[in-house]
Amino acid sequence: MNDQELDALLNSWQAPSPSPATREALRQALPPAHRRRPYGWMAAAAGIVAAIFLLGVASMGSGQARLADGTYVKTSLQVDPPSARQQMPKAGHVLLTRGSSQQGYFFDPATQTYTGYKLAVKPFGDGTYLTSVEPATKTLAQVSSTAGAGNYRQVPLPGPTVARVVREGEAFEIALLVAPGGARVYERIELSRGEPPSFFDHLGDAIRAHHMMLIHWIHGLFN
Amino acid sequence: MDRGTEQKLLQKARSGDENALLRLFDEHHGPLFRFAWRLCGRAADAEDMVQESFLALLKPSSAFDSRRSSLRTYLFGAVRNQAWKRLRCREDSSADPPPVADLRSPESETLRAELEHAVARAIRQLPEAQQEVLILAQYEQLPLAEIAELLEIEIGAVKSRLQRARAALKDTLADYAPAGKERQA
Repeated sequence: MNDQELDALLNSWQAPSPSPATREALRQALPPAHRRRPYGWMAAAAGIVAAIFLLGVASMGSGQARLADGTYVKTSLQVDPPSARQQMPKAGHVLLTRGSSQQGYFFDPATQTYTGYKLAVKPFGDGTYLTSVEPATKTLAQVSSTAGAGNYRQVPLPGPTVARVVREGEAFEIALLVAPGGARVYERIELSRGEPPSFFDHLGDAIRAHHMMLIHWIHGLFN
Repeated sequence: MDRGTEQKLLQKARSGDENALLRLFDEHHGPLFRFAWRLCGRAADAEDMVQESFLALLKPSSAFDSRRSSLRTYLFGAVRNQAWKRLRCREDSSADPPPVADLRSPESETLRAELEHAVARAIRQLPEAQQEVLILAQYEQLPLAEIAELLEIEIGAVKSRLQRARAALKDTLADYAPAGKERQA
């Protein structure tokens, strides 16, 4: 056997490639002082995003109003899942309270459409309320100064408009839109009697109102 | 990567810069892993040895001195020391189980696996001193002077060990040489 033949034989012995996990294993094995993550803030931000998304829904707007009979109505417009909010970045929300009813509108300039409802509330006095929902009786142009509101087309509410009895503090929903992809926009409403909103109510509302802004801000960091 | 850059990265790594250490790792771990694997025959052990060699670099007690040797030479030496230490501690110093020929595979594939196994077995039967020289020269293409520095022996000794290793392998693997096959046929 000559040297070339021996080389050819020896070169048939191939070593495997090291596992890519070795690098990570080394990183994990480093003493704590070495385990600094220059992009740790990004990991933290990603964690916040995940936490926010895990909450499941996001508020697009909120409002509080007192009806003529003293019933306090707390309203917040929600989108589920929150990521669907990006598909309607300029969508808006209008609330109008008159007498014993409230009218709410959700409109989207991108599609020039809106949905609206009229919620009538009748307190029974025992901590329960009779509520009924029907399509809004006023057009968007009548209640909103949104540019071009007169050109917006009203689309019907996706859910049935039925009367129901709700208890004080019990939240109920009024569906406003079900997008083709399954995303849902709805109004979340709570009724209560005579108790002004507490500091924590306002704080909760403020957090919910800024929920989407926070999501967009965090998205901006990564895009 | 030149020595100056390596030295700067090592200083940064020792002062806590993880990325600097990972850059050094990326630069050297492939050949070190292959060397360790060929000596010990187990991928998991080889990965451990490479990892430990890098971690040892960070210790204040590390013997690495950039004035005396390159980082590559030092790391090869560290892996070598660990490999022999492990093999001596391991009663069963057999390597990974030999590849079992897959009867469903083409004949050429089976023969290739058999040849590979025969070469591995032949090299591992060599004395340690010849094994390491052969692997470093044949597979990692290290210059003889660097092998001499790594093993702390004279270049003449490296050449001698290499020649003896190759001569032994020619005998052991004679049946696998093209001429040998013809003779067998």
